[in-house]
Amino acid sequence: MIEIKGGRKEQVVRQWFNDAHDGIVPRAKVLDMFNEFELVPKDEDISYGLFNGVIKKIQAEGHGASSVSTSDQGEPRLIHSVVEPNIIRVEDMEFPNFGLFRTGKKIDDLFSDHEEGGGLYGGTVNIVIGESGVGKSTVMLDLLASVVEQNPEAKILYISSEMTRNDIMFYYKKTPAIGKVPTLLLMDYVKNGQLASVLEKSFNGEHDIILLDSYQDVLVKLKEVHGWKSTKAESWLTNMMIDAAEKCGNAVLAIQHMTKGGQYVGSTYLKHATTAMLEIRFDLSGARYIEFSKNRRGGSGTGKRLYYKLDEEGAVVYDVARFAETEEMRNFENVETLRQQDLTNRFESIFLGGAREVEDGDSVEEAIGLDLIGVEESED
Amino acid sequence: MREVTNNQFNEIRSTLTANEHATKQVPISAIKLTDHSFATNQIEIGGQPVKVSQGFFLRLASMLKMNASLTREFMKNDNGKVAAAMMNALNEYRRTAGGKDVLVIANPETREVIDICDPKRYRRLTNESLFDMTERIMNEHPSLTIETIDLSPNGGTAMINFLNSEEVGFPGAGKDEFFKFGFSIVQTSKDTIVETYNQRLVCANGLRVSLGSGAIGGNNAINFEEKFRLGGTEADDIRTFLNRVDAMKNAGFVPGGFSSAIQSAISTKASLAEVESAMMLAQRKVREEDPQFKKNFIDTLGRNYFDGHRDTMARLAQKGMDPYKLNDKQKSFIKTGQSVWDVVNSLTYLGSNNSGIELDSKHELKAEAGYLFAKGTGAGFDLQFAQYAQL
Repeated sequence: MIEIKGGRKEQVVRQWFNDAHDGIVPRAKVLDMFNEFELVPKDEDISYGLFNGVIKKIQAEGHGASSVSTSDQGEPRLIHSVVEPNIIRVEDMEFPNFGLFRTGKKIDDLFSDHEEGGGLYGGTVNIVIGESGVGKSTVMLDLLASVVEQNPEAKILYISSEMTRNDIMFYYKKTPAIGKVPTLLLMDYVKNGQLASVLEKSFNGEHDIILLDSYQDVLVKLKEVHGWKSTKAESWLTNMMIDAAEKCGNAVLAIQHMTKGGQYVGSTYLKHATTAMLEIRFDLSGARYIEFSKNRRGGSGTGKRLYYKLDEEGAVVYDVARFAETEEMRNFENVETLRQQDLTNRFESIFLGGAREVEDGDSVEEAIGLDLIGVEESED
Repeated sequence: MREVTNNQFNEIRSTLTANEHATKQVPISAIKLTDHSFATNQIEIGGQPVKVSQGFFLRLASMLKMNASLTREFMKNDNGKVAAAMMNALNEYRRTAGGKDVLVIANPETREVIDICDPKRYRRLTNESLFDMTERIMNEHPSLTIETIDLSPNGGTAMINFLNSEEVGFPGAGKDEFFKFGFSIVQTSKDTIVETYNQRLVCANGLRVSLGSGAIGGNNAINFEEKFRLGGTEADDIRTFLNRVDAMKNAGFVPGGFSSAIQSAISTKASLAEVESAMMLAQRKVREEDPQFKKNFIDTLGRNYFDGHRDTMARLAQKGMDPYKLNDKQKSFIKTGQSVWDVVNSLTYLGSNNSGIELDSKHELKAEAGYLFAKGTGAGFDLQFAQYAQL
């Protein structure tokens, strides 16, 4: 067992390894161990840095998993953090029944390209980023309202962490289309400390599409309400969203903020764990557009701008004509690039020995593309 | 009214596509001149001997910012010094340009390299894409017709002249004076350019004119640029190019300042210098092998289309002056009996119609007419403000 020594905080860490891991530092990521450590209620506020430092000391004392002598134990000791990899052939895997949800609007084509007409797939985690005031919530609420309009059976949920009941009333007046969107206001659960519990209940698989507005604000509130560290709040929320998608087949849309410089705010873990990253931005002229910078369900739609405006009812109207024109221009550019390349090939074939078709009467030199001009001159 | 038929359009498209110049981007270091380059019209590209056209070295000199007339002079007496100077200039260019590439352009028909430039200066669609774009414009704007296509297949240049169906009259231009306005897409060896184009209906003459950008009828909301180049061949460049065509359409293709320019041209007598310059350009284009016939044609052109010149020369002689001893500056102060508008129309008629006299590169006459006409809105015609001299 690990000796209990050092300052009070160090002693807490040493004691935890004795209690939770039988006096051994397992072969696992420090961050994972720290997350596990954070779940245990304790009086001391122990930082990740201190935790990591104590681990190094314990390992130096010979209590690391790799330093355990198998001869002493008779047979290799099982460390419960080390898991047997579960390797399965893809065709033998079990998949949840993913839904496919359409809005009847152009954005469907950008969400996925596996089927004609596109649409938002269940089993996905989609991050929506954009600067303040660009219309992230508006575009996403319009998406939910449109999905329900197309498919009244679809179960949708809007989770707002920022808006109060009064805020949403003004939003509803401006955008009547959100009237039928089932909404959960997290502000109602902040004061009584039930935030994590109500979030867990909401992500339990009952809803086909969940819109979380916003990821960053929920993290802040989790830390404030439950006294969690950033890393814990982030991994807890991210894992819950991934589980909702992976295990329950939900489509999760999470709104995320950006820095003033227009960069994504958030962990790399979240960024890599997501299916798609949808950016909503202003262009230089102030016009608004959406663009996927990553999409595992619709690679052909990434990097394409879909401009939108709001109509008098506050509904999002996509500029389909502009999108089509941009596509046409891209095709034009691609064709032109090929034609320019063809002119380069022609040049090489004439002058630089590139291959070209042999014509009747061609000399050997001509046939291989060598235009040996000036031969007479050089012989002179 | 003339109009290019579908068959003609497709035929020209095939011709120009087949004769498209070949291009290649190569490092500057791959280009080498030898002591015999001028004598043999040959350079090396990447170690391969390559034939070049007569004009290539002047183009190279221009890219290297060498004095063109000096280069021409040296080339006549080639002794290897020009080649050495050009190689030095090339090395200097490479140093200042940071070892960048150049674009070489070749005529596949003659199998010669004919031009060289900075790749950034080459902003030209391929001919085939130009015709695709033309079809798109025609579909987008059904009121447009393709009036004519001027082309020089071997030179790699072409001009597609579009006209809008609307007929436009101008106060003071005469009750029978109506115009159709449009634009020309001009394909040079390195650029794709748009210029305004119009046709005087009374004799179906085409005029390529650029009067500078400005408000149309004083309305800034429908400004458009009357001459613009394609900025590149990427999607955004092509969209910008087409958007500018749309802006022209919104203004009915009528260039800003056209109305005032036409009134000035009608009311201003052309100077002897202006008539002579126009006449000599037309006369230089006469295509005839037989020297006697050629002289007759040249005289006919002067007599029938630029009569102001002959009359003024006679008038000066009668006053005891030798008109052949006057320089251009002096001639620009001498009034002829022809209005600027008459001279413009003579040029456009010869450039657009079959006058019975064979002329080379007729489209250049239309461009010259445009330059002369546009002078009225910029520098002014030579005698436009002559009356102020009497105040």
